[in-house]
Formats: sequence, C-alpha cells, structure tokens
Amino acid sequence: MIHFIYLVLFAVFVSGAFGIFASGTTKERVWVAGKSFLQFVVVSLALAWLLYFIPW
Amino acid sequence: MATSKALVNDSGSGNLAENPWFVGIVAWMVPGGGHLMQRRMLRGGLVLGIFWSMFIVAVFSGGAHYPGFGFADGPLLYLLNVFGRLGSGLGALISWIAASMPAKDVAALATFEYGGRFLEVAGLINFLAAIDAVDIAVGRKR
Repeated sequence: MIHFIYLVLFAVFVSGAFGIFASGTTKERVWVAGKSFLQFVVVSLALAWLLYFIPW
Repeated sequence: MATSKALVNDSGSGNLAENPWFVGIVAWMVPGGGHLMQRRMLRGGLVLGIFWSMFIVAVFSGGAHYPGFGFADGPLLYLLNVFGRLGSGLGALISWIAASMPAKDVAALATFEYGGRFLEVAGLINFLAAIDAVDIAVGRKR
C-alpha cells in the first residue's frame, strides 16, 4: 500500500508542476495537470500488472 | 542571441524583480521565491507548496541518505543525485545536513529509494521553476 501512496503523491506533485509551467489559459493548465496525473497512475498500474506476469 | 540581449538589457534595470540574473538566483536558492518576488503569488505559492511537500516527504523517507554509497561505487547514480539535489538551492544544504546525521538502518526502509527520488525530482522541479521565473523576467513568458 505504501508504494501506491508514494506513486499517487509523486504523480500529484509532478503533474502539479507540469500544470504550473505549461503555457495557455488556467483551464488548459488544469487539463495538462489532470491528464498528466492520470497518465502517471494508469501507466504505472498497467506496467505493474504486465511485469507481474513476466516470470524473472 | 535574442535571449542574451534581453538578459543584458534587463540587468541594467533598477527593479530587482526585473533583473533575470537576480530572479534566477533567488528562484534557485529559495524555491518559489523567484515567482513571489515577481508578484506571481499563485504560481509562486504552488511552486513553494509542491517543492517543500516533496522535500519534507523525501527527508522523512530517508531520502537525504540516498544513494548510500560513495562516488567510486557508482559514479553515474551518484552524480545524478548530486545534480538533482543541487536544484533545491537551500534545500540541498538542508538535505546534506540531514544526511550528515547518522541514521541507523535507513537504507533498509521501504521508502528509502522513494525518498531519494522525491529529493532529486524536487530539485529538478525547482530548476524548471527558476527557468520559468527567468523567462517571465525577460518577457518570454507571461
């Protein structure tokens, strides 16, 4: 569980930073941050499941 | 070329918040400080909040002791860590002071690696924040 919490925290902080430094309107920046957050979490979980089935 | 011209021109301004060199150094040394001195309160506050949140999580996770070995044992990882940490400005100093205090079995913590990553990424985010503040000072960004 601690690993997932760290993953979400990392995604929140880094996505927030991406949103701050992105160009565009406030709405566009919020969209960048939200999209980036979802990508961090979804891709990480997808990779975790994929790696789970690889026997090494 | 245009960049260096803008940097030279703005350096002569009396207002320190418009001096890109001064803004860059303040933004690097005090995370969020560059934007705050430019009166970008929301952006500065968010940078400050994000950076120090990551930094505190990192230090309490044992990240200040990361990577836990010397330069000779893993030069690339060691240098990446130093580069990432240097981005924190004063935070780098705090993290090195924290690292100088002995912590028993810190490398055995489940959060040790995460702490190291958080500390490095906090520094990299502050590099971006400093560049952003300089861009605002030279007029490349609003």
